[in-house]
Amino acid sequence: MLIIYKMVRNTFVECIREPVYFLMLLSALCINGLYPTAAMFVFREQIKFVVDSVMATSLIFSLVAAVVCSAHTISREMRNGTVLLLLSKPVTRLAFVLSKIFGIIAAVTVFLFILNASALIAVLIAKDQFRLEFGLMGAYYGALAAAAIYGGARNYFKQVSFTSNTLVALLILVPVIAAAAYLIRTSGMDMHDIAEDEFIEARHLLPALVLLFPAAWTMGTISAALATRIELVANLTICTLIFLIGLISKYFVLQWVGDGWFGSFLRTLLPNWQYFWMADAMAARQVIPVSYILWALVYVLFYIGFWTLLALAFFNERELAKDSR
Amino acid sequence: MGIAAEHLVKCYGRRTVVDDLSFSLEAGCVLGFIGPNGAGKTTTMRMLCGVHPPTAGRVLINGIDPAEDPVGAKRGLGYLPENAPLYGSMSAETFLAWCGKMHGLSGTELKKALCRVMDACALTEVAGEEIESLSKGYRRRVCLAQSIIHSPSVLVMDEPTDGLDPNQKREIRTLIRTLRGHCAIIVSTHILEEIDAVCDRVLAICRGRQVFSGTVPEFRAISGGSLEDSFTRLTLPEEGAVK
Repeated sequence: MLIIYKMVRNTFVECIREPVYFLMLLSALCINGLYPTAAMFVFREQIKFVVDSVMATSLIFSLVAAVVCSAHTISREMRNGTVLLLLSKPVTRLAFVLSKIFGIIAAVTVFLFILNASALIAVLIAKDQFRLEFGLMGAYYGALAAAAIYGGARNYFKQVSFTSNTLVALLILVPVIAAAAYLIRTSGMDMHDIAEDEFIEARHLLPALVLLFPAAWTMGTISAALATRIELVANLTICTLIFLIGLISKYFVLQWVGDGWFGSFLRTLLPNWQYFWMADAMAARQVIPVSYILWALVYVLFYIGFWTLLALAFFNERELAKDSR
Repeated sequence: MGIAAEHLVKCYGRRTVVDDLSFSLEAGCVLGFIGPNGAGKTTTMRMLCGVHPPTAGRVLINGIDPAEDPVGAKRGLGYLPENAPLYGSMSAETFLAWCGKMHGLSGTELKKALCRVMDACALTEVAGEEIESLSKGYRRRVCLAQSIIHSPSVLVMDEPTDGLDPNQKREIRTLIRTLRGHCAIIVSTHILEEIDAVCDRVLAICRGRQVFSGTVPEFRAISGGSLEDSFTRLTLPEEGAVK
């Protein structure tokens, strides 16, 4: 177990040091912070607009980040031969595959956690249809700049990785600002007097944001399995197709197969992203039951298990490190 | 203690890359593993290390078959891959410590092992530098250091002196001579001077098949002169394979 932990940690560190991982995170954070400005053109629907937009951005960016992490850690290691180093150590192929998948899932979790915190901030910035919380917006972008300056300074003076150090700073600053801003906004606020289009409570928003994690974990596992066989572009293409199929699978299965046991089985077999997309429930201010979240997690655990077995099967007969010869 | 290959075969689809290769090696002996490009040396080395499973036959590392007990078999194995593939983002010391931990070293034992290999491979002055910023020679040494950090009883080295300057080659050869006392060492190489410098025995393959196995003087005697002539006679079809 200790060896798997060491390899998971190494995979995680390799992922978060990737410039493309950091650039995607920073881009998504900047975009999330800007959505409230566009919400000023939406009549009394600013909260719904911001919530839909930040959730979609967080989901799409984290899915792409999952594929990028897989390609950079697994495909590249296969190509350049570092996989030979690992497999010549006292580890099994199963341990290798598991550690890669868990490392990628950990990196995607951190990625999405920061984006989810920024989603909460974006919702708080969109105060109402005519006003923005410019103070909070300033603090948010200031935090992004401060994190980058911290990472840059550490890189300059200590010769350590800019990306991973900036990520650590973001991991602390963004959630702290989100929590502080939420507490300040809600202190002394009577939730019963708040109109639905003015504010969304954390109890509605957080479960929906939490449900994005299993979606990203699923895509992380799928892309990791594919990365044992194919390179980045092909992996990204297949994962995009899987994502699109997952968005429409429920509709087509219901149309063509119906709602019987076979239809349910098919809908479960194809990754159904609708299970994790709760923006509509939030728009209706419905509370997402904890049991639903737990069932979604169980579904994802089975899904991850299936793709992990597939990854192992793909990896077992793989010719390794062709380019290192 | 040592390594043995019994009727090893490796096929990729219909293509047979290694065909019925057998040998054994005990501690205290250095085996030079030679062959022309594409002969199947690297594939054989990877099978010996348990990285690739053989299609048929088996490998025994200290009497343990990596196909049956991969973890147990690889505990006593050190592997130096070709081209020194490393994690460029780690410092040399962090990487070596990580490799040591993968072999179950910790605490004082790990510190001692780190000091030993960094001293043996002359890495002390670059210990804190990121691997990607190191020269090819230093990267090669880091890779060598990771292969011996756990004091293996079997050491498999794929082109250990490839890309090194003459002084570095000399250092690596000295190190191999030092290690041979308690280690069975296989050195895969294109460079025939390695055979003269460090090897006790030679195993030559061509198109995946064993064409020679014996001592260095026996290998030299094939042509009655230079190692290069012997190599050519064994590996060029028009010269006729001699076993």
